[in-house]
Amino acid sequence: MDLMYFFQALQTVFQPLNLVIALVSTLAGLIMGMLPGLSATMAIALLTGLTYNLPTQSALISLLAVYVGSISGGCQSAILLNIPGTPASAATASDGFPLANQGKGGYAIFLATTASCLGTLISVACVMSLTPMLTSVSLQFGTWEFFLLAIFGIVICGSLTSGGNAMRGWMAGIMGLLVAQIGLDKLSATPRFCFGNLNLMGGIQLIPVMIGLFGFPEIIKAFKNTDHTILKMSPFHIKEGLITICHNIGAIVRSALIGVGVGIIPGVGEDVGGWLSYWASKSTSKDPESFGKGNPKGIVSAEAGNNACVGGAIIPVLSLAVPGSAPAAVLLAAFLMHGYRPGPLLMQETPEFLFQVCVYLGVAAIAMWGLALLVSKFTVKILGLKKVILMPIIFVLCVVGSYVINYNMFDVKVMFVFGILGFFLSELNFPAAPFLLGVILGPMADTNLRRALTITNGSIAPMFQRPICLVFLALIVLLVLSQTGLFQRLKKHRKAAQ
Amino acid sequence: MSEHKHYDFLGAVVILLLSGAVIFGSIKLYTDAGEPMYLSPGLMPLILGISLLLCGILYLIGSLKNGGLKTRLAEIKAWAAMLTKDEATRSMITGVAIMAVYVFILMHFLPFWISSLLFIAGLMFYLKATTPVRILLLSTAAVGGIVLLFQVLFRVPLP
Repeated sequence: MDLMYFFQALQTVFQPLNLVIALVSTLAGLIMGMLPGLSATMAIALLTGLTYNLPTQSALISLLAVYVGSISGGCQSAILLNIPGTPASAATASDGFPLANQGKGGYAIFLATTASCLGTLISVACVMSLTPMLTSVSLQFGTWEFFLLAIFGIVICGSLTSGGNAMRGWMAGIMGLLVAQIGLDKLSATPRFCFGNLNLMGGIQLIPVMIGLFGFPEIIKAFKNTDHTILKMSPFHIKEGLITICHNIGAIVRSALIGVGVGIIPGVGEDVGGWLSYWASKSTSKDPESFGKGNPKGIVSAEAGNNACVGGAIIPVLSLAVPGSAPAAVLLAAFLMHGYRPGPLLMQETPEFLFQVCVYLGVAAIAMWGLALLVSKFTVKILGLKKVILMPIIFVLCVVGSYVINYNMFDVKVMFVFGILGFFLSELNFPAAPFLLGVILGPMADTNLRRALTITNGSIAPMFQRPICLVFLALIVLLVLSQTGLFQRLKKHRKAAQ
Repeated sequence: MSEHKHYDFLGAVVILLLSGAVIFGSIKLYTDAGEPMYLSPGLMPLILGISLLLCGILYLIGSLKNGGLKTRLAEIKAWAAMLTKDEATRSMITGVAIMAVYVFILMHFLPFWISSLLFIAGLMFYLKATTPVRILLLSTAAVGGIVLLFQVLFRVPLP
């Protein structure tokens, strides 16, 4: 029966109209993902309206293709400009941009795109096979676990991106968490740090902060009269890229599995998946110092991780009707609009739906791979233009990207202010990524901590009695201690004793 | 620590000032709300403010190694004097000023396409990016492309 649903879905997707829709939607997603500020969430939201008049299956194909395309597209601007097209690609920029600066932009894009495709395909296999098991694990997460997950994310990201001084990364992360506290408090609606400004009461939007932190410093640096560098792209052979992929296949599979795991946890999106996968590869590498300087493993890990979140985030949508990430939330709304009822009864009411989603995701991943490589030939040329020509245009795109979140000029001003802040952070060697992650995870940390304390009447004892919490606490302590050089000193003592 | 210890020192001072302001604001939130601390909207900001203060103190101590306060202040004075004479810094400040004019003034008074055309062309002229004819062609094509993509294809209203 299952095979019959599978082949029916394949038959549907290979109908000429649906195939064209899949290709056009993937391309639209790729382009929107590339443009700084146009997130996957926005891409799906914009497309949902356009798919309203399409047949249901075609609409489903279109929405899933846009999701896959937009998450993958962000890597191209991250690699070539150090401006992630979407927050999901922030980890990719860490090694992608240094590689592009070495003249290997095309090679980096090939690696990122192939890893994205493989990550999505592995996540599709997980959606089909692991849905019931993974759903039960994610249901174990309570308020304490979510709070510690947020802290763990900041500690990891701060350690990873600080370039040798984790303190700077952690401070950047704390500042990001602080920015997330601005606005009406989610539990009691008390205004925090709003200074009577109505716009601030709505909170600081993520996208303008992201554009400001990552885009602005690059734009300002182009204004230096001395900086007329043009990205030089040396040609590469696909064989070279495939060999690198084969060498890193273990990292890709591990990152994809991490991505699926992260994606399945509600509220934690592709960006966290990318960073966690990157961290796992860096911490298990024999040569961790090469990460951040153009290590191909860093690129493939980040991209496989963030794209695998696509499948992961869909698992709770299908089984619980709870979205695993922001784009998945829009996707859930689109499913409902097209007459599907995801949730515990899905497998009884519409068992074919799971197979349709999996097949459409798989086809979209393969379409994305081909289209992204085709498009990259143009993007390498366009994004590799003289920076003094490119950056004024990029700034206008940054303005548009910030504006279209709420159609509010206030967000453009927020982007400008955080851009200036991002420039100073960059000059003082503070990493921007933990700051951004802090803004993402801030509401989750705040609301879950206070909910947990409300349940326990202010006691923190339950945090030390829950197994998942203990794992997170142990990881956080280990990470902090590892940055103090304690383990190295212990190693030296042992060697001296021997 | 970075090679520029005075950068670390400056960063630490800013962090300490920020953490002080956050702790003050959090305590005010707590007293205004009149709830137990664990329910207060000031709880998370207070935890973050104290964490930032501790990190800032450690960072400040690190920045004062190899030279002490007097050396750092002297380095900052020399660095500030160098900045005022630096051509690249002036160019960056002018560029940021042009961007500020676009965001805070032009976009408020002119339609998006006119203000963007003026901004892109003006900035490219200032940066001497290419020949005047190519600048006009490039800026027109860029603004036209953006309007076509967003306003026409995606039906997104622009400012």
